[in-house]
Amino acid sequence: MFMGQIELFPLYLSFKVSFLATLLSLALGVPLAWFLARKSWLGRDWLDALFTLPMVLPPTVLGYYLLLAIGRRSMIGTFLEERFGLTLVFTWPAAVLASALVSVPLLIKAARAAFEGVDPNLEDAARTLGKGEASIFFTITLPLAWRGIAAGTVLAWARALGDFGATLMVAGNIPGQTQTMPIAIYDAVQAGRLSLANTLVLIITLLALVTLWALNQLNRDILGRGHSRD
Amino acid sequence: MLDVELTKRMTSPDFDIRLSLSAGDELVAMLGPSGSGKSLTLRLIAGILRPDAGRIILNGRTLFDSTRGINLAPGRRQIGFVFQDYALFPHLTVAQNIAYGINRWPLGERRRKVTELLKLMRLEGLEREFPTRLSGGQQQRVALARALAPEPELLLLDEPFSALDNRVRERLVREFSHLNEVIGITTLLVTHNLEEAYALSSKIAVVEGGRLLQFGTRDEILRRPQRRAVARFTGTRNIFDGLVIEQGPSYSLVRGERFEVITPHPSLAVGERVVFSIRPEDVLLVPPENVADQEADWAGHTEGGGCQPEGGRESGESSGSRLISGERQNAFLATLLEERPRSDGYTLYVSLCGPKIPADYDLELTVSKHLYRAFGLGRRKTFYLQLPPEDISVWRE
Repeated sequence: MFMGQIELFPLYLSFKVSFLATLLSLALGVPLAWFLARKSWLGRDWLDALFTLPMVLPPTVLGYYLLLAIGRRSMIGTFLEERFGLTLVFTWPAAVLASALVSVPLLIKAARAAFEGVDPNLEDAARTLGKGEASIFFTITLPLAWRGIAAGTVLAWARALGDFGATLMVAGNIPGQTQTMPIAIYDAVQAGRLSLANTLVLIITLLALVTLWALNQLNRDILGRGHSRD
Repeated sequence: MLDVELTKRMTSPDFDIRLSLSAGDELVAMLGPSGSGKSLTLRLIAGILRPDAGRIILNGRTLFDSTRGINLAPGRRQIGFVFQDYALFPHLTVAQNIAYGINRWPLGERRRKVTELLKLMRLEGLEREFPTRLSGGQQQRVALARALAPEPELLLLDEPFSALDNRVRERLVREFSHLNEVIGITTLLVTHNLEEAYALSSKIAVVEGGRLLQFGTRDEILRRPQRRAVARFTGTRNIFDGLVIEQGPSYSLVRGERFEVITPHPSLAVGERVVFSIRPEDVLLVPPENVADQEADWAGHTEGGGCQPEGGRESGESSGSRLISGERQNAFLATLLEERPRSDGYTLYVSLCGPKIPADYDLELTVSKHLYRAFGLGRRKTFYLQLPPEDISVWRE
């Protein structure tokens, strides 16, 4: 009876935003995790602390920082607006940034542990066999750390899908434009439309469950084939 | 031909590596206790770690030279490295592991090389297996095949047998020494096991605390130690301080605290302080009928003229050797103080000071069960033994 009335845009937007945010986290988090795991330098622990901060701070604080960083008055905001006529705040790309910011620590933690779990002797062995650093990373380190990174990726995606506070701060709550699933649910509850809220909650729960199950299957099929490491 | 001269300061302040050695087309073993810096040295040679100073020259090619700023990347050194735990790539098959260092070769050549190595290492039929499914010995051979695939000029082996149990180890050591003749490239092996070093190598470098103590043929290391630490580490057991008291044309007479011996070392001066040693298995048992001046023995012991372990250590009180067939050949009357069974016989702890003194033993020797019985040995029994002069090492500290 209510499927017809339900606007499915928040669902679509949530999946789009969380997917892109996960890609962004991967692009930023994997190199950073490798760097934290393999290189020791003076500021390493500070960098680690900095990128753990989003796990500790309330999402609204993160959203506020992000607002300061990309708002229309900020350096980045002014630059984008003057040069390209772009505004980030209160658009869906801002939601991607916010989701990525809250989820990247999970990925970094998992990926760093995965990289640290790779025996450095293996990399040294590859070095003596004439391989360059990039080649070693892609043929030895990454394939061996892949499981941990995949697990971190799933966590990061889940966190991105569920983000509320940071997204609301920088992307706002514009139905049909920036209203993601968690915000739509909040909206529905506020407006007293409980049956809508129920439906949305049910949908996102089921979809998240199925997606997590599928990702786990995929992990096992891709990585479990052949080598029996554990 | 490998020439190495290295200095490397480690993060722990009281440890650094400073050594130089050269190896021809042979197998050289670096022997030393754990923590002596031998594995580190291999890593420095391979280029995994960077030395602070020195140079590494392999077959005329300079791999590293601190003064000229040369430091070749590990992959350009043409050095094969077999890691202690083999460091096989767990996500690659045996064949992929072996081919890893030659994947830029044309496909045909690469296949031929892998097939050749699989055959040489007796790994045929295992090419599609993953390393974790292999036995320790098979893993070791895969690691060796992988290191040899790019046809290196030098092979480095870091404790290649330490991860194996004793039974397998013995067989593999034998196999490997065979294999080494086939491969025929300069090989530097690191081990803390004397048997391994002796069985495999033609030359041994004894290392301790990052320093090269002695470098020589395996028999020189075993039979002619030049340092107390070398003698101790190679199981010499009987090591004594001594004083040269007489110098003949081809022998020296050296007096220890409790007895004196004839040694063949010709270039010593009278009055010189030396150290002398003999391995437990080199001490011989002598049938009494071969000893000429027996009548002196008991007199010497009962009067305390032979040696006085409890009190005075003045000169003239150490036990002199007896004559064997008219020549002084370091024969002594010994008393068995203690014995310990070995898998192949007994370790005997004896006093050269007569039957009445149960003090510290003077000598440790090993005898077979057969000899033990033939001589009717047992605790408190006395017998004659000989320290063959040619088996005594003498050196200045």
